[in-house]
Amino acid sequence: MARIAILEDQTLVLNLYRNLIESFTPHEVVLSCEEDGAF
Amino acid sequence: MRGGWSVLNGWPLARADVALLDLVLPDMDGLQVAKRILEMPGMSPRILVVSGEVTEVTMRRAAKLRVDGFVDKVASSKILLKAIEEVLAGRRFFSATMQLIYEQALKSSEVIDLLLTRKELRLVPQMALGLSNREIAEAEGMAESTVQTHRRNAMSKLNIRSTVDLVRHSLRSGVIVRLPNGTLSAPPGEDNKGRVQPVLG
Repeated sequence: MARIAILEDQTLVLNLYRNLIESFTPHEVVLSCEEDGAF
Repeated sequence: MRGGWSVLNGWPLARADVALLDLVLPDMDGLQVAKRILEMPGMSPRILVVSGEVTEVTMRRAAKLRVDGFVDKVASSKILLKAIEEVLAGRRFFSATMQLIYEQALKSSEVIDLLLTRKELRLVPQMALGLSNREIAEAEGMAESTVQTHRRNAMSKLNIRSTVDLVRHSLRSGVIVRLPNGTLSAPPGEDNKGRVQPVLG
């Protein structure tokens, strides 16, 4: 299982990537910028 | 809300294996972010750019940074997931659209100079002229396995999968030239390439 960071500020796109990764791969999303509040 | 650059100092990114990176971020240039990530000690996530706005100029900058992959935002979910797996496996990946842009960018010999090491730059013309690993090893006084490694690394960096493609790329970028009689040759007057005799018709 790998750890994946997503640096993306568009919430819709960010959620799409997160859902894709968490639904169809064993990988873990460890950082997504929108959720992290970085932007 | 924290400043955009602060994300680079966070522990989650430091332990990430892959970073999916949009090139258009608020108050930040995505490639500058990639550069910062790659320069940070202890941080070595593979970089997969996912963007809707990639030009040849952007691709040249990215090539210099050794970004691991490019996927356009209109690519299918299947392509994105494949890109993640390929990059995780240590291979470079380009979606079809990005591959076309990359090939255009690679027409510039300047980009090839940025991508390859000095040793690879010395050997690629010989590879493009059709010399075998053994022939190059003998000419250069190195082990055949070393030449094989240089060949594999150079082709990976140029995203080339066959010697035929290597010849095509090398001709387009001026690494080798076609002489009036139709044979291929290293460009005349170049020290590092001049040892090679034309071997392909």
